[in-house]
Amino acid sequence: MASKHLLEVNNIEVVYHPYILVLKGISISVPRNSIVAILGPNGAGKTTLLKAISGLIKLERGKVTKGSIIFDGEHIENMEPENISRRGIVYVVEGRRIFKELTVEENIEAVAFAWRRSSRDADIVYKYFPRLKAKRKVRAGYLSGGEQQMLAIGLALLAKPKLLLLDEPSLGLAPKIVAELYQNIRELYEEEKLTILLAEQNARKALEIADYGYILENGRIVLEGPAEKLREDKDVREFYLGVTGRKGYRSVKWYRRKKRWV
Amino acid sequence: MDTLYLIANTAFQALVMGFIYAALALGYNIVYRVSKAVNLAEPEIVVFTAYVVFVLSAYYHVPIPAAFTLSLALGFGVGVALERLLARPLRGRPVAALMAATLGAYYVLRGMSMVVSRGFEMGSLGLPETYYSIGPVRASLSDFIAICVSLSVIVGIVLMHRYTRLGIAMRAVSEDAFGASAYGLPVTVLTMLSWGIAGVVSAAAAFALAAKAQVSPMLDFYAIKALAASLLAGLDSIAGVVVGGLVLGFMEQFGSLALDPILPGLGNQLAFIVMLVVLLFKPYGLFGTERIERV
Repeated sequence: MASKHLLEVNNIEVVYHPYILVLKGISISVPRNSIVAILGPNGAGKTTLLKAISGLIKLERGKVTKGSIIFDGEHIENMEPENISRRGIVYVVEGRRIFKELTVEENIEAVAFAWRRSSRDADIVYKYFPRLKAKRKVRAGYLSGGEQQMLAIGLALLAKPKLLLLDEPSLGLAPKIVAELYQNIRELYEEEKLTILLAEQNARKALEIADYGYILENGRIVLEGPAEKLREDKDVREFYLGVTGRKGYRSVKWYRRKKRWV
Repeated sequence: MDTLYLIANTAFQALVMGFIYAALALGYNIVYRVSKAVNLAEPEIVVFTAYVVFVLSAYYHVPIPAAFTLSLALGFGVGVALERLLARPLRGRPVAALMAATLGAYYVLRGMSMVVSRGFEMGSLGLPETYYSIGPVRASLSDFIAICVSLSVIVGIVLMHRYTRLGIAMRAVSEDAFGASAYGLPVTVLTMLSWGIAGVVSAAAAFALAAKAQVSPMLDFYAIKALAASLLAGLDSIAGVVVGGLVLGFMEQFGSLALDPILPGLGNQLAFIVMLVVLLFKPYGLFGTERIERV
């Protein structure tokens, strides 16, 4: 029986190099056909959470020591990364990992080969990222940062993922490009009926397209709720959206106190 | 007039040897691209496959084309076996470990060659001794066979890497194996296949070499010298081997012509001087990848 949630992470703990506890009891659930955002500052554990789900922590000697990760009704915690990706979880890693020596077209061909997709199927990349079409013959290393990110997401699409994990897609991109990228992500989410788990520092952008959000700090979830609620939340507005308005010294002190949260 | 003949014929021989060196160098480069190590067993793959053709045709009267085809298949098998037995278990270890292991494989293969060749009997393939005169150049049928075989292997591999999906996927693996596996590319299979293809290339080059020279355990020396062509081209370059091979071929032929009267045998060692110079001054070779960095 398929449950309502495509992915359920129940109270997991993740440990690196047997001693370093990175995630301390995290539970999230991702409903089918939705965008869920994981927000939080640097080092909060966002990437670790995605790596735990995709199994890639194994390559870094990390391990899920407690709790469970259930994808499509099946336990996947500590499974080999290849087996997880074959089940339909595709992870677009941070920092635009593409084949820089190959042209855009060749990048697509290489990944299409892996998933036995025809050239017609491969056109999906150009459909959602029309910018790339004009640069088909350009070596990917010469693309702009935004285009590289688009290509990275486009390559992941070729796998026809059931669950797409996006790690910090806005990292190091100009605001205008970020806006375009998020527009593209929203479109492909709607038209391809994707389910997306998005880790972002750029909370404003992420909450614009997400349905639900979790805020992670120091390996714990400190706040969660539907995106519109989070957008309205006083603390979130202040710490993550940068909506402050005029403030006196007293309120800054309050901020200091409040920032520690739990 | 004599000088013209001499120069023209030396140049032609340089061309023939250049293409053979290029094909031999290609074998190293294909392996280097996926495993980042020099396959030191290749020289003995060359001897082994050359002997397979020789023994089959000389003692079992198998037609040469059939023996050649079989040697290509054996080359593929040896390449795949090396990947499975050496490269895969040593993945993620320092490349020196893999290179040492391939050196071990060299001696295992040498033993196999000895068995196949009944104690290294030497001989020639017995191709028809037909000669053609093109202007001042006197060329034998063997020369043409050597050129055709090595050139078609090189062109085939270059086209495959450029235009087929399989080749493009291999290039992706060669650039970033971790990234490739993240996107679901079958990295393990592609690596194994690359070693197999390198084995086929080595076997083809071995045949070209056997057409030119006597089949003997000393054929491995040509493959060792071809490492200079490989380094000159850049260990991860594909089409660059043609330039590397031709430079080596011309240097060696003309070097011997000029230097042998003074220092006999030096021409044969020129390859090692090339190796040293390349490693000292241009370690990535002429066509080795310089990674694109956006600033």
